[in-house]
Amino acid sequence: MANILVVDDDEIVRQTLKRVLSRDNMRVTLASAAKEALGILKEKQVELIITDVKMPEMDGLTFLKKVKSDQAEIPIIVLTGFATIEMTKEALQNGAYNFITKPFEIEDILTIVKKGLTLKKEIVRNKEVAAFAKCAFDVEIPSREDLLNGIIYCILEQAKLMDFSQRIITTELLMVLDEALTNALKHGNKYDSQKKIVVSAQISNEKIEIYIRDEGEGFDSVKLIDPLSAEGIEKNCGRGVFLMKSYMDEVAFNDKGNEVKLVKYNRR
Amino acid sequence: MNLIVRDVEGVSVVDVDGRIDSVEAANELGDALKNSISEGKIKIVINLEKVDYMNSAALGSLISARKSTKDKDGGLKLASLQSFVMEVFKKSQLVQLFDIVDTVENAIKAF
Repeated sequence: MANILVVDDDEIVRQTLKRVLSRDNMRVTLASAAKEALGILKEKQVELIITDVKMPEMDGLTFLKKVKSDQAEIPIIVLTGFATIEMTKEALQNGAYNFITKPFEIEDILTIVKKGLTLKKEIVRNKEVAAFAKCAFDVEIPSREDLLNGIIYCILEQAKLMDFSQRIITTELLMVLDEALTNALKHGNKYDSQKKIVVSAQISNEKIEIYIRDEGEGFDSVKLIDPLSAEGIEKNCGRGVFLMKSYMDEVAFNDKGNEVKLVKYNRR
Repeated sequence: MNLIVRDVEGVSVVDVDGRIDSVEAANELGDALKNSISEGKIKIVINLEKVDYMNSAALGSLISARKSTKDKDGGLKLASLQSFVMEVFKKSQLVQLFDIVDTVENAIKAF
């Protein structure tokens, strides 16, 4: 029996959803506030969440972000009485599975919840396979900025499949790949489209290991000005490498300084 | 990324909408700030409410613009930073360099 968590400060909405979903053989837990729901999620296994957007103390979008940073695999349906395109966009960008406006049709709710539960089962199956899987991604591209986002997307999608957290994927790995690829393009190959950038990534659910090499002259990372020093804080130098080191477990350059090795362990 | 520059009580407010995730976007931000400063707009508030990510090139654009406004006895304040952007500023210790204010309104008042 699937466990559904309904989060809404409106008692009538909570009870209506409980009645409808229970009739369809689902176990329903109710929370009147996002903080209460976060507490429930620590105690109970939940297959799907339906949450209101406008709630006192913590709104539904903040709640959604918090859940997605810890338990990205739970599909979340967002309910709102005053949907706007911006709000829909923000909810979906932050990992909402679907969006329903109030007042809602019972049939619509049931259809979306059932599809969400099917999605959850597929995610769980994928995660079970991912525990044994390793993915490799190798690419050699000319020095063109418009190709970088595509590489980042491919690697982040693999990391998602391998159960890295949403937070690591959408911020930390994104930043590190952005910085390292930009370094290769800008400082390494100096935008020379005749020169190549070679990216090689191995991704498992234990760790992600990425090598990025350019065809430039290389540099001595030890000689970079410390961007935290009084001399360096107002300079635009070394901050990208500093941020890479802040977010990765290992950052190492080869002797020439034209290849960087980046390692991040998946601590779930 | 989209930029809108508006004037509020003699302060240039730059509303940034979207991730600053490329050199091109960082340069666009830097150019917009340079243009404002060269037009004599030396009191600037950058509204980062809709920016959940920025790269080091964007930090560089902000650092350069801050210096340019300071050199002309103006100032640059950052408002409404989202959590990851704030984290990057803290890690980089740029919180010591920049005036970071909770809202655009309070940043304007602080001039």
